[in-house]
Amino acid sequence: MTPETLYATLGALLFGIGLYGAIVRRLVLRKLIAVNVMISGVFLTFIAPGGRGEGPPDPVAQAIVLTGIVVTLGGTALGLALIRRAHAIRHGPGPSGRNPADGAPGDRGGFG
Amino acid sequence: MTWAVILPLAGALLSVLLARHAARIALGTVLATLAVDAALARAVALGGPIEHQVGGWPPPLGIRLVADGPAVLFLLLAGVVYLASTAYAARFFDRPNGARSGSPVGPGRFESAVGPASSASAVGRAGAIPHVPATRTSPRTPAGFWPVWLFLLAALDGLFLTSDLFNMYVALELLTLAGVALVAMTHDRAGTQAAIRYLLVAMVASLFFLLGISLLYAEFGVLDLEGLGEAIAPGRITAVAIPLVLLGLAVKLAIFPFHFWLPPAYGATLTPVCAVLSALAIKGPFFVLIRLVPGPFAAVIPPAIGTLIGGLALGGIVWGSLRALQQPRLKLLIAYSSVAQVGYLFLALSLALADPTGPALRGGIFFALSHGLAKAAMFLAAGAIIRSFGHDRIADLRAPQRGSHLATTALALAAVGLMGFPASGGFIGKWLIGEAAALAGRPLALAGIVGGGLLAALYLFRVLRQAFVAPDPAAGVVRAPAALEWPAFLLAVLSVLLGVASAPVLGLLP
Repeated sequence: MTPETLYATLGALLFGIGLYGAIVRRLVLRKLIAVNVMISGVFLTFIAPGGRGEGPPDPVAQAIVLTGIVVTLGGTALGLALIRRAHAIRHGPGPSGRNPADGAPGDRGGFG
Repeated sequence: MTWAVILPLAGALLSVLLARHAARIALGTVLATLAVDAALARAVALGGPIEHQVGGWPPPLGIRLVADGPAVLFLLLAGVVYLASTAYAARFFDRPNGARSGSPVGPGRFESAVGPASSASAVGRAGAIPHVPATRTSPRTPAGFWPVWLFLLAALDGLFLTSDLFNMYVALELLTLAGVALVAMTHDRAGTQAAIRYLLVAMVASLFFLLGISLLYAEFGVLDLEGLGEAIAPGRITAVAIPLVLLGLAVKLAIFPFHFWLPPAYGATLTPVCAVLSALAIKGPFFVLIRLVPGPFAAVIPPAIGTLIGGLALGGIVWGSLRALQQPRLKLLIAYSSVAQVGYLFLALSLALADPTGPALRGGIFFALSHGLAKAAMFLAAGAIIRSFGHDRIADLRAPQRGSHLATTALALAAVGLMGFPASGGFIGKWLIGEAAALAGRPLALAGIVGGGLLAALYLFRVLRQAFVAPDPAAGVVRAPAALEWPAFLLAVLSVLLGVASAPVLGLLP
């Protein structure tokens, strides 16, 4: 197995694990983490063929993955902010204005 | 050409710095952007497509921007819908209408209350004292609304101009992030949950798209559409990559059966946001599809995928219409109608695959433009009527013209466009798609187009008939502010005029 196929297979595997988690997990926080695992898989498939041949690695692939990381960071941050807010709406903010770190799954408490 | 992207971005940043004047900055930015779009459209109509290499870097490292007929038409659509919605949103927020109860809860009180929670309130029931419900007052402008509002426009304009696969991914992501943030601006439970679901679905969909792109790039080493069109060849990698790309876009476009995230997101959020999301945001992935499917992908898509797309399209038309028929609430009815209308776009794509030189693609693009105008008009008109009644239960919206003549007229005109009455923009779009179906010998597609129009008439008349029933004297109806009526009315008039004056638009299409 060439390193190229190894990385591509790993990337596909990560994508699959993440997709499984994003569908099966019930807590949205875990879904969000699963989506991040998927993203790592995609980046791996982008980078893997970049190192082929003897020349320098493909700069376009690297630029793409860097941009992708920034975009992902934005999406993940927005997701975390929304999850925190959903939690605050359900349970009310904690004493210091912060939320407790974890919510019990299936908790259907009312507002505040 | 880059100004169409730079202006909204600059406006967004400026509206962060000068938050007090954000609404005026937004309006000015949108006007300037529309002027740029119009100048670009004129140049393209006179001299053909225009190309620009960002920063002077040629592909493969640089990104090529291309303004051709479809691109400038979608830019103009975005500009017009944004102008109307921005004027609407500027009045929508923050000004009292009648008695303004101070809203200590925060900005979300308004139409977020038009969720399941408010169904129990006996507004306007006979015997109840008509009080002014929360939905009658303007909500406060949510923090950060105007910058995100303009970011969405920048993402759209970037998407319509780019000719680079990865750049398309970035623009789609920006579109999603801005859209999710706008949906979440209600700050209530329904809005936040809808936004989280929207975000997760859209991120997963983007990743399918991106994985497909990464495979194509690994195989062919190009991201520019023109280069890809020359390099692409059938093979194992292509056979995996293209379904991944199409699946990602289909989910983002909310095609049946991937539409489940759309109605909650539109039903829960603020009216101006509904208007731009339904009219423009779902046109983003559609635009990518019309760039890819008749473009670089045309030679390598197996016919089975075209048939599958057509089947899903018909399913979407039927299912979305049936669900719209059952909705008790006006905003959800319009949202499900979007699911049905997306079916037409996919039907056009499927027919364009079967016959690339036929009228299907022109029809699809024309339908998308007319749907954008009509759907935005419909949401804005619905918002004005909701403001005057204080709720959006269709059964209790008796004689909506008492609240607003103009908004009711706008609703009717937009409905004419959506049903596809002759001479409206929707009619010409559907006619072209139907012509393609007849030419390709697809009776089922033809039946879907006609039947979908009938179903649309059924669910839209559920709303329109309310204009002809006796008003409920106990319902406390407030007149809707004129600044909420006029944008809806003008957009609705445009959606009909698009059909009357279709020649210049069709002249810009391939």
